[in-house]
Amino acid sequence: MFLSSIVIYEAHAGIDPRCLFIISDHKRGEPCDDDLFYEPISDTQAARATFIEGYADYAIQVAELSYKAIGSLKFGEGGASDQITVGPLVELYGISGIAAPHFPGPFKTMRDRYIDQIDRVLECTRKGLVGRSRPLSIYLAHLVARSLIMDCADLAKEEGEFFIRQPDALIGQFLSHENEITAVLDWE
Amino acid sequence: MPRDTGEFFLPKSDGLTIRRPGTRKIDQYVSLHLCHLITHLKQFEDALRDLSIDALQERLRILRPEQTVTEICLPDPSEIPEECHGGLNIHIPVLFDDGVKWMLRMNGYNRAHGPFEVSRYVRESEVATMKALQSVTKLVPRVHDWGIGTLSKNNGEHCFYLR
Repeated sequence: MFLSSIVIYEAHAGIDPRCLFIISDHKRGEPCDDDLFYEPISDTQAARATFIEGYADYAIQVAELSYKAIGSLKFGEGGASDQITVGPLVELYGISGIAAPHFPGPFKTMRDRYIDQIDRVLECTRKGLVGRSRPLSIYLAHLVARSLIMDCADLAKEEGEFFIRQPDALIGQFLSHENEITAVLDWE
Repeated sequence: MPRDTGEFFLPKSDGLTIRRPGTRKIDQYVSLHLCHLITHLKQFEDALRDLSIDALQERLRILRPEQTVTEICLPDPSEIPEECHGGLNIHIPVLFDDGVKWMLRMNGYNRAHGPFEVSRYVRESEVATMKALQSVTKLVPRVHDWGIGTLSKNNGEHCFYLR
């Protein structure tokens, strides 16, 4: 989305030291580097092929898991870890943290998902809660995006089957050792 | 004794070593996005200052009762090296006496991200996603424990979520 985050910091100053933590295995490897794909292909061809094959294997494995809606995974009733289901779509960055409802969805179509976010950005822009430095451009950009999404039949399809996607899939989220992918991190 | 340049060790009487990674001062970050960075570094600093090593050791003893923690790589809260944190989390490696290495990944609540329940839900969803993925791929780290406030020096004020 086009949301400027600068205003968020003006509106919500202050830190609370409550600690949210995970203890997990430590994975071997170094973060993959953009150079793998930007350097001349003759220099990185073998490494690039190894990475792509590893990524393909990983993507095939992840595709074994599918869900009926668009959202964020959560534990089942009473915190049951063997009943993981799709819950509201929540992220730390973006409109959800600023404007209620903070827990939108789950959604049946990509159109529903994007329109929900865009409409809340439009409302917050009208109220002056976001985009105060350039409200008109932000407002118009979101109106254009809304129009494009509403006109896209594919985004309105009820696919019925959705898959897990790393929400911040930068190449640095992949660790590798001797070009083999050893870990995929940062599922926040 | 230091193993690498820029590291030093703080030995404790019970055999645990708190290792300090190489440090970098905050004024070396000025070329980056200062607004986000200072907010996050303050968040990390508060989280580190709030972390109870005794509570962490106790959790690790429960999780691996047969093993002993020998080393915790804990940044100085006032000088947190870049390699110890991402955009939202700080990472603290933990070493056991059998060579097994785990990772503590933690953050402090940042009000810039909305109500605390949003951050709590995001953390729960992260763990749920990792646990789901572990059933199909070995590339996602296995989660041994997670929680909110239970490693805090002031954990009496906080809610508990342990599974």
